[in-house]
Amino acid sequence: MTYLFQILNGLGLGMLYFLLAVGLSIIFGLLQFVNFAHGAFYLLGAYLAYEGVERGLSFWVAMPLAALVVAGLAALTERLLLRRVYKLPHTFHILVTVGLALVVQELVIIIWGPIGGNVAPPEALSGVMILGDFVYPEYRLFVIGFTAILAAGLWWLLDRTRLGAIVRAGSESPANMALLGYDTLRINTAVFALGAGLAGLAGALAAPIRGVEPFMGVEALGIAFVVVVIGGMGSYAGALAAGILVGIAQSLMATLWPEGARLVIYLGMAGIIMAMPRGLFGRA
Amino acid sequence: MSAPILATDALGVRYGSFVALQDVTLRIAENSVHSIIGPNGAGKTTLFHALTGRIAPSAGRIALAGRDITRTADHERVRLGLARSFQVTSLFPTLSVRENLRLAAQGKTPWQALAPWRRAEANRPALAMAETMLERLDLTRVALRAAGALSHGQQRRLEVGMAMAAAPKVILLDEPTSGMGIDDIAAMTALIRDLGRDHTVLFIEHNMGIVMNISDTVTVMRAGRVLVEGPPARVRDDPEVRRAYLGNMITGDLTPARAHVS
Amino acid sequence: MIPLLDRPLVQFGLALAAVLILPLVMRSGTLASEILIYGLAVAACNLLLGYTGLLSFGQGIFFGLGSYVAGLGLVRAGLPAPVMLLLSLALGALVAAAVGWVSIRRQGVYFVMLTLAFSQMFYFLAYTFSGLTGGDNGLLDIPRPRLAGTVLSDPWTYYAFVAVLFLGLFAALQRVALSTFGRTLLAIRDNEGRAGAIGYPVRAFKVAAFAISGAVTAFAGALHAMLIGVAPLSNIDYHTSETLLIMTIVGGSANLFASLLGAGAYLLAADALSAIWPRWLLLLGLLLIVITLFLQRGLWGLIEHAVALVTRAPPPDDPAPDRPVVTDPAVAPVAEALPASDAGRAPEVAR
Repeated sequence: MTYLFQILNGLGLGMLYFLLAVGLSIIFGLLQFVNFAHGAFYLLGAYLAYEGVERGLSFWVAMPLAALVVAGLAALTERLLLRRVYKLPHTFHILVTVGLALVVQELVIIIWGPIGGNVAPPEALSGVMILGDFVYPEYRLFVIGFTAILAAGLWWLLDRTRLGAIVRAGSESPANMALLGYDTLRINTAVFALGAGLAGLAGALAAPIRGVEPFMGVEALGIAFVVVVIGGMGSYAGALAAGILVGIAQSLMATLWPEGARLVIYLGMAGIIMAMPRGLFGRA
Repeated sequence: MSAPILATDALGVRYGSFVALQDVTLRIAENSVHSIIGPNGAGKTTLFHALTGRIAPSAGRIALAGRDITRTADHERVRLGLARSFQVTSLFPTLSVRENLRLAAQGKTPWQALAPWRRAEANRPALAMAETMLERLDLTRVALRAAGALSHGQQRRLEVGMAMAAAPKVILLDEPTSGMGIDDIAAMTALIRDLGRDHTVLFIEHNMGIVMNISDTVTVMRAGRVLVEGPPARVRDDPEVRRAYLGNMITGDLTPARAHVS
Repeated sequence: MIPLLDRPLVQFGLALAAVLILPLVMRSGTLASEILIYGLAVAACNLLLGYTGLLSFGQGIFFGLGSYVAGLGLVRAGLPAPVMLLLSLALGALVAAAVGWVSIRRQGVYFVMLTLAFSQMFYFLAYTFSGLTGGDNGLLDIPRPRLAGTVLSDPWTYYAFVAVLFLGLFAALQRVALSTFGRTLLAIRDNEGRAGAIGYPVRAFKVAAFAISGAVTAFAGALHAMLIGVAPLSNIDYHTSETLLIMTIVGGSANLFASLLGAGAYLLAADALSAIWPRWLLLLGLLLIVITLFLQRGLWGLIEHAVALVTRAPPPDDPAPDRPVVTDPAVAPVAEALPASDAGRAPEVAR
């Protein structure tokens, strides 16, 4: 029965990883852009939600608001800064986003201090669910359910709408999109904002579980890379499958062998790169 | 024909379910000028990729001077005497023209270059070859210019020159005149004819004028297979060939313009 | 015309000048030593990045390894310092060759991710095998070397020791960069496919580049451990890898002196600023953004522009802003600056 607890934890964690990674995966597929600032969006989302709740906003307002603000800031950054960097070698993609991540992290510390804080889950979800012998926090169940709905919604967006088709086509062959007359600039901004917004949302959702602290973006970035590589760059299904896989693996490791968690995860990433370079669901 | 210098037996290449080459059997005679022609998508460049080791064949064998090289690594084949130029210019753009050629010449003895303490001048033959090539390609004037800054015609000449610098037994030229103007084409044709004197030249071309004029043998490919092979005159008059080319863009003249000079 | 600043003698002269100037303008011998030590590690990183085109997030592995070799070699095995340093070169080369051999089997982003994964895995190994590495605490009480009877405990005496070794390895790396090996690396960086097609076993060259880079980085790590007396876990951390890369790009990946520049600028800024403003990393982040947008040749690029202004020559405008200009007066492999217009320019005399 204790394993059920860990697995549910892992599932919740995994769904958050999915939100974190799917944006990065799409951004890479569409823009061939290695975004080392992705963890910073996660960080911002968490802190904005924290700030909202501190100021008396309901969590139900603060959480989506945080995601929207992060998406907006990301759109601005893409338009003003990153657009000029695409044509440069990969080295500079990494450099500029590392710089951005540093700036965001330091700003967070300047504004909110280096210690971090806690975010209480909303009243309605502050209790536990009891099923016979099994006890599980309501908020965590909410996270699983909510992210599952989001995942479905995102799938619908990608699979059933015109925008989604454009994004998927663009991920396959970016050059053709421009040739076909699509406003690639606007699409890039939209996709970047969407990816960032999802990361910010993940941060906001994670805040009541793990609290907020200025270095949470660094860890998130590492996990995001692992999930994207294992799942396959540019793949929605990959981000979902790999996210859940990594989440559950991490959760189980926490009880079985805590120090080995990092090893297992990065060994897995290296293994996938060597054995299945396109990832689990990457295009052949 | 005495033992062919380059031969393939039922060579095949497939990418997943797509068959790029199928059952290609070739015999290239030593010191001959042998051209490969065919409509786009016929598999000509794929053939070159397989011959040079850039891709591994899925079936068949390749032999260079009697030696099986089917599984030999691409860089090894250069040492054995096989070199190629590319259809899409593939140089070292930030390095000078002279350095491009020196590197190509040095490529015949690459393990020498692996010693990190040896200076480049230690390999005098490579330096000398680079100088010779500069003259032969008429690129001495731009020896110190970055390869990426040359005109298209100059780049195509350098492209071929880099294959020549390896002093190969067999040289593969992939559309050497692609994108060239009339003057450049004439110079390139003379170069290839000159090469044919003491090398075996295998080249892919769309310009029928050149093909018919300087080839000893012509192989026509279509849809990954060999359609027809023989001397230029026979190939030119073949009804299958005419049918294969119907609707495809060809440049140059199909009628005999000049007597074939061997 | 070969740019004056890129001639090997000038480069070495600049390095020598820096080595001589530091004691005159700095108060801390420890910081000065650190600049040279990191300068070496950054030059080694540049051999991979600027010269071979390989963006390795694994340099921290070798740096930390070198520190551990110093700790274990000097304290546990009681080796004399010169032997320990040679050992660090050897082990650095070996481990780097292994990491490189695996990582180069993938290209582009996947290569970068592999080195990142290795960096995390080695960190884990160091953390877990605490019997060997001291785990979280690291290895302590690492002694300074003993030279001609005296222990080099004085900061400036140790600096002199580091300076000599630095200049020696700097010259060695220059030799490597200018050798036919180094020039082949440039070709691989420019067009790997063609390099293979003209006969070079590209993988072997990349592994060799990794080995040399790893050896020098480990050597620097060993010097660092002797400097601060500790082989900390943080030396093998991912953050060290990231910092080394940042220093490399900030300095400029165009040549080896630029690497010293990058290391020096970063460490001096960190030292000066962190005392006044703990959030100085914000400025670093902004600097990285500025460099990406306007200064792709890094701080070295600033110097080039300044020199160009003074000599009123056109600034170098080569096709790849982040690439090194490697020159050899005898053979001049690399092009002159692209002329503004071809008309009226006298043909270059071949050297």
